[in-house]
Amino acid sequence: MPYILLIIYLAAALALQLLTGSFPVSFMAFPLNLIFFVIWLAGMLWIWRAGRRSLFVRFILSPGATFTAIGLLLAAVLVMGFTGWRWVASTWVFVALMLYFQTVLLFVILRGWREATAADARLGAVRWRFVFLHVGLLVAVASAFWGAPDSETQRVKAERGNQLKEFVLEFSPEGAPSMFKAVVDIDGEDVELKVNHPYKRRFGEDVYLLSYDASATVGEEVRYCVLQIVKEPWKYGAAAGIVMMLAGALMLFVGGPRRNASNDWE
Amino acid sequence: MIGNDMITWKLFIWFGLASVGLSAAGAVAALCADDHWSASSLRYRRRRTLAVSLTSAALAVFAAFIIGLWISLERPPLRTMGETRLWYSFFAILAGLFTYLRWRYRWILSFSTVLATVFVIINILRPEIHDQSLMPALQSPWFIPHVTVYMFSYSLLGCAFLLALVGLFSGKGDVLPAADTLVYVGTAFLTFGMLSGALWAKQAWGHYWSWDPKETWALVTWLCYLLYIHLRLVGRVSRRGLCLLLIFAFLCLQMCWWGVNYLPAAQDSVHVYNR
Repeated sequence: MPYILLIIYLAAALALQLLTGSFPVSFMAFPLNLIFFVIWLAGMLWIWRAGRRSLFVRFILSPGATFTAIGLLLAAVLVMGFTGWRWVASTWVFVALMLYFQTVLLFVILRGWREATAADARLGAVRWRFVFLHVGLLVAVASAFWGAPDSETQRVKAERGNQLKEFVLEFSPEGAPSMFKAVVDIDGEDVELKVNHPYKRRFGEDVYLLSYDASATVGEEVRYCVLQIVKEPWKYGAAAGIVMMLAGALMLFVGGPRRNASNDWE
Repeated sequence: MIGNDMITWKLFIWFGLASVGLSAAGAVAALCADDHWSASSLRYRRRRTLAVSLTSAALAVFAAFIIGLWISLERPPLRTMGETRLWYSFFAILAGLFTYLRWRYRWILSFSTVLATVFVIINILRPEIHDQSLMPALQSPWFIPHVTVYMFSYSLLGCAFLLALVGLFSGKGDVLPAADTLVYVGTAFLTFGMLSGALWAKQAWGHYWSWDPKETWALVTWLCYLLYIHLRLVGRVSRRGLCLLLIFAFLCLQMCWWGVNYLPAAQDSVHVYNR
């Protein structure tokens, strides 16, 4: 029965995809994404408190839910791998799948964040490795997923005599560019930009040196460079999730396989 | 710029063959120990010490070449396919030694030697070592940890793949507990590699994740091992099925490592540096 509902859920997403085209990512921009995120999170927490015996919660916490969440995502990413179709990530089916993945992950965290003891489940020790890995993954994925509508990437050509103040280009003995950097005017300030060294313009917004006038050869002046302005206000969440997962991975390396049979899959 | 007294690719054939030879001798020493010898007997311990010493010597020779090449190139040798294969061979022998010390499988050193030898031979016959300079995007403190961590996890998961093959075709004993440890440690390093890549991509290109073909295949690989780990926790899937999953996961890993370079759909990847 639950699997039939899962199939209907994904089929509905497919139908929406066929009828309306890809998911309206930009429509969901702030504050709509935040509102839906709060509704989702509050709704799931309410279900967790009120309906632990419900079919929904029992299914979401079953091994089968975890396997379908990982397995279906794997299948979707395999399709993207073989075809190179990046647009798959903004289809209704993929969005539905990511929502399912996050829901399973959230409930698994709610159940398993501390050791279940026979006497009193509230007294169990916190399972730090589990928490770092699973909460980290949820925070990173949720930031990317709910924050995607607020991401914006612009490319600007900075020309000499205008925004581009200075450009340094060095070549290796083989003739390939080995280093380039630019001094550009950003908001009336002279800023040095290099690959791997972006400039933080304001909260959630960074400026990158993307490319330059590639026709310039040794000794020639570079006439323009291309700046990339990335607005990603949810990036701090993604960074926090990534750092948590790194800590969890370190614990995975140190601890190795460890079974706590009491807590995995009640 | 590069003097005659420095270590260059021209010398690789000697270093590579010496290292593979020592590793093979270590593997033979390990194989010669008999299953019936008790682990504490003197002759068993002698064999074991001999196997470990020979394999360590193989690692030392290989490390000497990598360090020498690093110095002569004036940058870490991590960029071309030839250079990453160098690390792979080194880590394959290291992972084999680790598995041998930990679980005492007599045959694992033979397998890791074969794995390392394949990549040494490819490097001798088809080096792909051109392009001596390091392009600007790769000039970052993330570069060395990102690549070495991946190479180390690839070699651990390579050993898990060999165990899965043994489990699938010989049916002798249960190889999965040993594979578990390799997969846990390998996946931990796979996670380091993928996440350090995401942090670096944000710094270099502006986005943590952009579904670049290399990223997509890295995620495929990671999800395969994630699925294995979670399936093992429940234990409802047959050993055969789990061995097949480990084999499939390793094939995806190959796709991520070098297969994408040949995939028509992946020709716009920003991760191909040696075209």
